Amino acid sequence: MIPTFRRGSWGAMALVATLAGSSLASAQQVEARDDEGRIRLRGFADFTSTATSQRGVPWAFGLGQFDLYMTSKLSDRISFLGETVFEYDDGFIVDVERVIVTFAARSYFRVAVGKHHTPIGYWNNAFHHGTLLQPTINRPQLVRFEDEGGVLPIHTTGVLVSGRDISPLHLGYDVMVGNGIGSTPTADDNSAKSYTMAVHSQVTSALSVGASMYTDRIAAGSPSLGASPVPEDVTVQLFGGFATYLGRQLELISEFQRSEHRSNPSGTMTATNALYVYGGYRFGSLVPYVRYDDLQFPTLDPYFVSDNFRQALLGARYDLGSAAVLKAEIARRKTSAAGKVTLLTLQAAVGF
Amino acid sequence: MLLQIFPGRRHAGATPGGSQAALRNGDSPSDHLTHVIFKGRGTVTVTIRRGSAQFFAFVCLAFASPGELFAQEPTAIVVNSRNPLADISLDGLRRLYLGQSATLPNREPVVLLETAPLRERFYSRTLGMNADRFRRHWIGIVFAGEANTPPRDVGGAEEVLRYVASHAGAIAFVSLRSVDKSVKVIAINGALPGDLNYPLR
Repeated sequence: MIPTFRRGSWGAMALVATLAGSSLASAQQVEARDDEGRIRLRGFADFTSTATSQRGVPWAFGLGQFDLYMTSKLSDRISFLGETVFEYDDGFIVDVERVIVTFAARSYFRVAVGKHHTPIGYWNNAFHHGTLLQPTINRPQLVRFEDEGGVLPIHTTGVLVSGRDISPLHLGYDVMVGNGIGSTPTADDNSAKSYTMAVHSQVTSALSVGASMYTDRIAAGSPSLGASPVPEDVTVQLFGGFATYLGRQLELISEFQRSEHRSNPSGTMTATNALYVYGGYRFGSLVPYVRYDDLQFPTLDPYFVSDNFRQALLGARYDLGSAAVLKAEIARRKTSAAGKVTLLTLQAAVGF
Repeated sequence: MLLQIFPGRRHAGATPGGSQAALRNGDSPSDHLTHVIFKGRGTVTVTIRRGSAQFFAFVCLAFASPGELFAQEPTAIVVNSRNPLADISLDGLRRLYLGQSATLPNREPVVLLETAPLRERFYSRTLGMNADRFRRHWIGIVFAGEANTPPRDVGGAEEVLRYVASHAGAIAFVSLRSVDKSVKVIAINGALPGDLNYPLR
């Protein structure tokens, strides 16, 4: 049974507070109904245990993100989506990950304002903060969240115009203007805005391909990912593409991004290449899978920390109904900073 | 007994009329049992004269493995009778139920319906998903902020037909035997539920 409340009801807030202690409901919550004016609530949580071969790092259990999101259909064409994450980061913190108000005129024209997942690539728009829905335990290194060591602008606050299912080619597009790198959800640190453009095609119900481009400018003096100030203005350009095949049994996802940083006025240009490839094969509820991640940084990038990352992992996912999944992975990782490390990770993820 | 093999997914010749070749002079189609015994990349059918020794052997086999030998009632895809849509591709149907298309091929905004008794079979046959996996797929769509609305369960076949009859963009799957004149049955890949090459037999 899905909890529903009238807009503005304090009952919704009360339920958010009590959800943590509530038992997991079955996933009968996706059933549709005419729900204009009601709030639909859903949550995700995960519990992980990791053992590593790295010296001095003990085997540990860990709480993942405790993710609550709500949607509400405000009218026939206007909807709201909010996603808030409770996570541990030197104490439990609350992070508003997405707040989006969408006006959907047609499937080929929608305008959405708020804090979004930047429409670059595939994973960042297909999978969000609930680990239940993503095929592996963690996001690929290429699309790790900013506060988890990610290098790309995963979130952007701004205006997104998008469309889907256009023409017999089933094309889609996203055009976004946002605050960009170095900004906060409430303010920008410079006058330059980020611009994102993406086109994609759902070639068949199983096969999709797409390409995206992102551009922004980082102001001189802004902190780099290594915390030191960026010495000059840096023009950022991201070029990426993806191809996915999600069939009845076979699952393939591959994605590539090239990040170019051009310093001004010196004109120095550096390029970072990153990719991942995921493949899985379903046997009923069990999906064995593999994933390969690769990020190669230039030695003197003005914004990134040059910690090359290469990882191959072998894992398995087992579906326990629609709202719970168990995952196990063994990964072999090589980074510039930590060298070669083997990790064994188990995860139980639920949605409620 | 006549064994017929129709290769390929779009075996245009695989119609009930194909069994006519097995009829003897003076026989009527009701004197024979035509049955699909395999359906995959092609279709294999067997046509047997009722009352023959082969017929009794076939019936015995059917009791031994009824799920394999007796196809279930075809699932019909129905739309509003005023909807001009007459045919949809199987991939188009998948796109609708996977939330990849929010409109019918004639650009009518779609309202997806489902009915519990047929849900598991329909999603398995059409999408290769069980109902749990299908539900999770839609959690992901809603969570991604897409505007599409998951299939709504309005009850049994009677309620589904009533809903389709009163909503222009509605599409639903129901058992063929429950269909009445209030709705329109559409073809899939050009085949209607009575055809041997109908994908949802």
